[in-house]
Amino acid sequence: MEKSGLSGKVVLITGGNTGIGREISKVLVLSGAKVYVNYIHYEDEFYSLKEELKDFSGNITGKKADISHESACIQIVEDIIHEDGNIDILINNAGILRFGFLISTKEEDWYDVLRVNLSGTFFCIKSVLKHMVKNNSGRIINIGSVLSLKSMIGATGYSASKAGIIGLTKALAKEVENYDIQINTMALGAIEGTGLLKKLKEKYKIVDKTFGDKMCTIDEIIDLILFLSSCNHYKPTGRIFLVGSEITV
Amino acid sequence: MSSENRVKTTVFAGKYSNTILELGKRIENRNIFYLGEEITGDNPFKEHIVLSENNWENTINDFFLKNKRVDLLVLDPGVIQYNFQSVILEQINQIKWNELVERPIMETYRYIKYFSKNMSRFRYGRIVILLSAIDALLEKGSFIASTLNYALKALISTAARELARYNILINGIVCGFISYKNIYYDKELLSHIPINRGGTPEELLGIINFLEARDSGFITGQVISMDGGMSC
Repeated sequence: MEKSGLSGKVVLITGGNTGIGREISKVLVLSGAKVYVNYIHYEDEFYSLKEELKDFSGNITGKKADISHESACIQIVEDIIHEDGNIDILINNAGILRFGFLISTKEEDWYDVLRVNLSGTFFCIKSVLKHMVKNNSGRIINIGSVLSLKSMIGATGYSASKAGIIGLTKALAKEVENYDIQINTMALGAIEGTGLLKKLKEKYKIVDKTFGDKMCTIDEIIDLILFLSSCNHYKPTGRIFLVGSEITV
Repeated sequence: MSSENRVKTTVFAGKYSNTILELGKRIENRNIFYLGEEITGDNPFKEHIVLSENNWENTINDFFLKNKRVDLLVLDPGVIQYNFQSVILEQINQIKWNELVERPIMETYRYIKYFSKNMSRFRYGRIVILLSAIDALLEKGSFIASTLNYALKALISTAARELARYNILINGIVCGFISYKNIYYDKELLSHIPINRGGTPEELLGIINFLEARDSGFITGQVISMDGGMSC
C-alpha cells in the first residue's frame, strides 16, 4: 500500500467514520497517511474504526465537529496545523441525503442538506486553503454525486447542494491556479451495497433510472481517491470525475 | 369571461435588478406583480410586495388569497449581478456566505415551492429562472456565482421532473451582458461576445414569451443561453 506515496501525508476527511467515508479513511491509514477523521454523529463508528486499525492507531485521530459552522471548520484545521504543521489533503465527504418532493418537503430538511453538503464543503475548503497556499501544495477532493448532473425525483435539495460543489470546484480551481493545489470533485453514482435504490423504491415509492443499471463500487472510488491524492505528474484540477455511472454529460 | 379571455398574471420575483425592472416595463396586457425587495426607484408593477425572512409564508399566502391564479413566475435569484463583479475569497465568512449563497438558493426553492402549489391547483404554470453567464467567464473571484449557478441549474432540472405532472414547466435563461439605457460595455468586454454587442431586454422578453407560449409546451428543465455566443 505504501507505494501510493501517501506515507506521512496529513489528511482531513469529513464524515469519515461511516459509509464510504469510513472505507476511504481505512485505506488512507493503511497507505501510511496520518488521517484526521471528522464526524458529528455515530461516534461509536469512529471508535470501532480506530479499533479495527489498532495497529496504526497513531495514524488515526477523531475530530468531532459540525462542519456546517465555519468556526468549527477553522478550529479543526487550526488544531491539525498545531499538531502536525500541515494538511496535505482534504477530502470533503460529509453529506446528508433527505428525500422529499419539492412541493411537500420541509424547509428545515432542505436547508440542512444545503448547509452540510454545500456550505460545510466551502467552510472546510476555505479553512484549509490558506495553509495550502502558504505551502504551495495541497489536494482537495470533494465527494459529489451524479445527481448534480442528472436529475432524480425527490432529490431537489441534494441535487442542488451537490451541483453547487461542482460550481465551487471549477471556480476555486481558478482561484488557486498559480499554486500547486488541485481541487477536484468525484461525482458518484449509487454505491453498491448501500441499498439506496431499494430504499428509494420501498420507502419513497421512487423507481428511478437515473443511475442506470451500473452501480458504483467501493474499489472504483478508492482507486480514484488514491490517484487524486497522490498523482505527481498529471495533476488534474477543476475537474469532475464520474464514478460508477452510465450517464454521459 | 371565458378562460381564453382571462387577463393572465405574471409575477416577477427575487432581486429587484435592472433586468426585472426593464422586463416589467415591457410587459403588456396582463397583470404584473413584483415580490421581493423594497423598491426605491422606478416601479412599473401594479403592486409590489416586500418579502422578509420572518413574514415569507404569510405574505405569500396572503398574495395568493388576493390573486388566485399566477400563470408565469419570472425569478431573478440575484446571480446575474455577478456577471459584473468578483468576490474575494478571504472576505466571505459564514455570514456573507449565508447571504450570498444560501439565501438565494433557499429563496429560489421557496418561490418554486409556493408558486407551484398555487399553479398545481390550476394544472398550469410556467416558471422561468434567470441565471448568470458565469460559466463562460470563469475567473478568480467567480466562486459565488459559479456555485449559485450550478446549484440553481440542478434545482431547475430536478424540479422540472417533479412538476411536469401538474403541467408546470420550469426553465432557466442564462443572461449574458444585457444593454440597458444606462449601461454600456467597453471594447474589452465586447471582445468576449462573438455577436459583439450586449443583448437587449426585448430579446430576453422574447425568450420568456417563447417559454410561456404553447409552442414550447414540450420544453422543461432546460437552460437557454442568451449570451451572444460567449459560452460557445
